[in-house]
Amino acid sequence: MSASLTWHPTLTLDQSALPQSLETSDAALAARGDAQAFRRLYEENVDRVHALARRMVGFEHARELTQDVFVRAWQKLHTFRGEARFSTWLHRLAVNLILSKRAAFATERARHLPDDQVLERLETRPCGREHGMDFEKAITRLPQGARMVFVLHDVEGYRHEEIAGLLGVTTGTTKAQLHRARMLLRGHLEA
Amino acid sequence: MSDRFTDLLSSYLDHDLPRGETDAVERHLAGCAECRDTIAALEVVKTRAAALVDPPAPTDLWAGIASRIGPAGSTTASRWSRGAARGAAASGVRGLPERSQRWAMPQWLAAAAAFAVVALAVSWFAQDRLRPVLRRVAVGRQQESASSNTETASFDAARVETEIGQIQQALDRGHDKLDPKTIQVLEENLRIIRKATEDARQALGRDPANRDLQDYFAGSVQSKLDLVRRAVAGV
Repeated sequence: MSASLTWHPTLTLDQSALPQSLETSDAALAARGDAQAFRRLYEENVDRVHALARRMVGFEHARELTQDVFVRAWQKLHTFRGEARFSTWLHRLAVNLILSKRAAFATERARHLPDDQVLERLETRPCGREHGMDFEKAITRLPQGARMVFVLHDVEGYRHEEIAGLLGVTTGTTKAQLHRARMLLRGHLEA
Repeated sequence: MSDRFTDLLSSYLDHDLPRGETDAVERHLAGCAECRDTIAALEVVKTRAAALVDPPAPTDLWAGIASRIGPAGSTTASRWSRGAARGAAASGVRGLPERSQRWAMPQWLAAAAAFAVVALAVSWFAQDRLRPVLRRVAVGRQQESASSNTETASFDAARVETEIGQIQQALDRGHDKLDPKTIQVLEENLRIIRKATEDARQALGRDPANRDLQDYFAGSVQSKLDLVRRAVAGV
């Protein structure tokens, strides 16, 4: 069976466009107050939002933060114009919310995990299936500034200019933080 | 190894250095095995990060969200079915408080255009190609049907055709007041709905007992019809 289906003289449906079309439709319904449509958007996006929160602020806060993101999305859906994918809009909303709360999380985290001792606390180098999960743990133990930049740049694909704008710093700072994060993680992988 | 060059390695790896510095780093790398090892290790880190898979979120997060977004959110997993939604829409009663949802015309057109693709999706489903997507879409719906058998929607091609006729008549009545491009978009969407409905009818003819198929067509086609109807009313 071919990857695309044409049955209209001017419209061609590509399989890759289908989830986006459903997403767009559900976003429009949710913006009109359809909680069922919003539930479907939640199901499609919750893993990514939770993973983002977990990597940026740690597992202990990810649950609450993920719920905050979706509640905020529900409240802000009327501002979603459909110019980008809903998932893109939601992701940006999640990043902004997480960053707005980073100061509070940093204060709490500092009580439990002194900034520059982060990666020394990790277990010895793992192997096999646990390796990926341990890499996740290593990310959450990066110093806050380095972790935010690393997650946004290397995991989420943001550009330095975007990250600098979000964090209110220069691109020189974000590049230095990214390098610091990679060097610390390199040390962990080589441990 | 030189600290000066070490600090540039990440930017070099990202192709984010000016030409002159790139050349300088490459000259340095040619004679520095330690920096070559470092950049190889940094590349491993970068590759690992890009390849991370999002692990599943805890499965009990929705309840906390539903309790905070209002009454309808808390009933979503139990009683808020497509049938109930359609009935509420028809009667003007919504399950959630009305929010600022009056769309400007361009948004209606965008929504109508979005529908065009969704209607195509219905057609596509008719050819047994939508099942993987619908499994995800149906997550909430499975829970609804389990607890609310009396509210299950069913697909009625004849009724959809009647509604299309009514919308077409409304469109005809407003013909003189509307921009020709607007009329073109809306009529095109109606035509696509009609085609999707016919495909759905044929698919159900082959698999009449498939409740998921019934629910999907009922919900999808009806909600898009509502969308176009509101668009026509709005203009």
